This record gives sequence, C-alpha cells and structure tokens, in this order.
Amino acid sequence: MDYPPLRTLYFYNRNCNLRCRHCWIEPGFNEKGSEDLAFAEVRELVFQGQALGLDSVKLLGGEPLLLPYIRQFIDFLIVEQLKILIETNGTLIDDDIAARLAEANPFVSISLDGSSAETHAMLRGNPESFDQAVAGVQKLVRNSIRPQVIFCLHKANRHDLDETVNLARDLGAASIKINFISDMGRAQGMANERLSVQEFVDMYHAFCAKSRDDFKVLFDIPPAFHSISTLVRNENARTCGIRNILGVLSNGDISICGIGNIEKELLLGNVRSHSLASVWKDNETLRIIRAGLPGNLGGVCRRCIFKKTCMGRCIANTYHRTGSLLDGDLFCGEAYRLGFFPETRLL
Amino acid sequence: MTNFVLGDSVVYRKEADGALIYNHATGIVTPLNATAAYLCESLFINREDPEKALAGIKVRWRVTDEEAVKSDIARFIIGMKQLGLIEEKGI
Repeated sequence: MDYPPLRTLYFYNRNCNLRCRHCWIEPGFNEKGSEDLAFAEVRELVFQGQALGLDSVKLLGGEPLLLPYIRQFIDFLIVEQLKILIETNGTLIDDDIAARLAEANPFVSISLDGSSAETHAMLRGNPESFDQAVAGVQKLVRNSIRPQVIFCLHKANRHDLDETVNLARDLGAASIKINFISDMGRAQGMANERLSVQEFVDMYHAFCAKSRDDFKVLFDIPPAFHSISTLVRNENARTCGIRNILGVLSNGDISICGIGNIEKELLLGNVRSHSLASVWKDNETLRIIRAGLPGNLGGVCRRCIFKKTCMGRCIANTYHRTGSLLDGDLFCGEAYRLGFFPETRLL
Repeated sequence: MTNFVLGDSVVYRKEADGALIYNHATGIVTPLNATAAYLCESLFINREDPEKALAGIKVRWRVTDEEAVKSDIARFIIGMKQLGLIEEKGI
C-alpha cells in the first residue's frame, strides 16, 4: 500500500510544572518517569523519521522545556535542518533557550489565558505563571522570534478577550489563536465553565465584525464557520495534518498524536520494540485513517464542502467521545443538530 | 456575452459578503470576496460582457481607475480558468 510522507513528529513530554485545569493530556506534575526516552533514543527516532520524509518536529507536553535534554535537542534539530515547532506555557523560557531557538526560526506558541495574572490563573492555577509567560514572550521577541499567543476561551475569561489580544500585540507576538476548550482529560471537570458551541461561534462572529486589521487573530473554529474574508486571506487554513504526523509519548509509545496519552487503544507501538517505518507503513489504524479521510467521514462532515481541507478537524477528539475515528467532527455535529451550521457550506 | 460558464462539477454558493465555489471534481473550495462574486455572477452565470461587468463594478464600488479594473477582470478570468472552475461554451 502507498503511504504518505511522515512530515512531523510530535514529541509529548509527560511532565509539567503547571497543573492547568483544561489540559487534555493530563500530564504528570513535576515528576519524571523512569521509562522516559533518553536523548540518544530520540535522536535515533528522528533519523528514522527523516527516512520517511520528516521535515519538522513539534515539541509539546506537558511542558516540553522540562525535557532534561531540551537544549541538546534544539541544537540537534538545527543541525539536522528540521523545522521546530513548540507549544509551551512560556514559564521556563530563559535567555539561553531563546538565543538557541533564534538560530532555528521556530514556530513557538505560548499560552496566555488573560491579560492579568488573576484571569490567567483561572486555568493555570499558579498566579506567578502569568508574569513568567509574559517574560517568556518578551525574551523570544528580543531574540527576533515572534511567537503565537494561545488563549483558551471560557466563560470566565471571555470578557478579557479584547485586552488579551491587545496585550499579545503589544508584546510583539505575531498572532493570537483563540482555542475552544474540549472535554478531554482534566477539562472534563469544566463542564459548566466551557463555552457552548453556539457561544464560541457567536464570539467568533462578533470578533470578525470588529475587523481588526492591526493584528492577526485566529479562532480555532472549523472552516465551515469561517467568514469569507478569513477564507480569502487563507488564514486559519491549517489543519493538524493528521495524515502526515505521528505522536511519540515520553515512554516511547507511538500514537496518531497525543491522544495515546488518554486512549490506549490508539497506541500504535513503542519505539523500543517497533521501527518507525514498520508502524508508519503497516499499522492498521493508520491504514483506516488514510483510507477513510475524508471520503468515509460520517456525520455532518459527509455533506460539508470543506471536508477535504478540514479532514474531520480532530479525529482524536471524535474517537474519545464516540469510539470511532471517522464519526465526523463533534463541534460541527452539535452546530448542525442545533440548526446553526451554515447551509451554504453543505452539499 | 462571455463564452465561459461555471464548470459542470462546480457548485456556486452566494453568501452575504461574497461567495464560495466548490468543485466536486477536486473537493476544493474557492472563496470569493464581494467583488469577485459579483464578477463571477456577471460573467459566468449571467454571461454578460466584460464591459458590462466593468460598468457595474464602477457604479457599485465607485472605482475611478478603469484600466486597473479591466486588468483585474482579465486576471480573474485567467485565474478561474487555471483553477478549472469555468469552461468554454459557444455563444
């Protein structure tokens, strides 16, 4: 069977220095696992990935900057000329990390869930993490890296959206991305605090109506809801790239992304017992995804004109809720069920 | 009258601030802003002359640089052809 190139490896660090209430991974808190991959193993894995077409590595967590070999890892990725993407809470960025990253022209995302320590801490727990994250952004900007700020929108911080956008712009960020909080992992405890699908869509439209041209604001919303102007500008066009990625967990487990942290059925192997090539070429779950996306998507995705670009948005989330990867996106499904999915975007 | 129409595999969806063109053959969605949507309807659905489309744009958007608009219309037609969204049809 033909297989696509493996473009990006997602490395998930199981450890974190914060215990955010909405985290979908539920990482450990300031702990280190005895089975965690060593740098030599990670390096070997990258080499295996390069043989399959790897051109980028994404570091996530937990908190990726807690990896004991993070500086060595960054230097190695630069030498290998691989694009570096990092999702971090920003609290551990020091001048040395920022200077190393500056060599790489990386894509860095830093979480800021409000324009003040008080609002930020509603999700992050630790009030000091706000100043630390702001300082992290500033250190990157001083090193000519303009990060993307990620703002997780919920009922108690929605009043602060405009101010947080202003803060991100003033700090020198390149953009801000507004995330919808899913109900996976720890976020399951936030049922009454999450915005509904309708509320999130309404916030998006209200924000679009203000037409801020001075700064890029991206809502993490399915393309079926994007305004024409967003579509014309080709913003928000990126998907997670599910057909071209693999997730590697701290203990070497391989999954389709980070979902393997919470859905053990979606573990595809372990790097200590499987070569990356054997998983990428022969794994049955990956075959199902390749054969099924986008043609076999169910639910409202089946009728959506964006299914080829959207690819069911987050099939990991769909699996978590329905037990099937191809049941169709739940955000769009909810909108359709409630009657506000845009008719013009259906076939 | 132009000798182009929207392709058989193409679905045109008008929206408040523009339009979307979905191509069944490729699965690709092409968004059009309000001006491009107006041009698309004028040239490929109503099959009006480019001159008439130009006149309509001048009135609607109060454009003064006629040569620039002519050039934009020509580029729009070429772009639509390249995307496989329009096909020739006898006048």
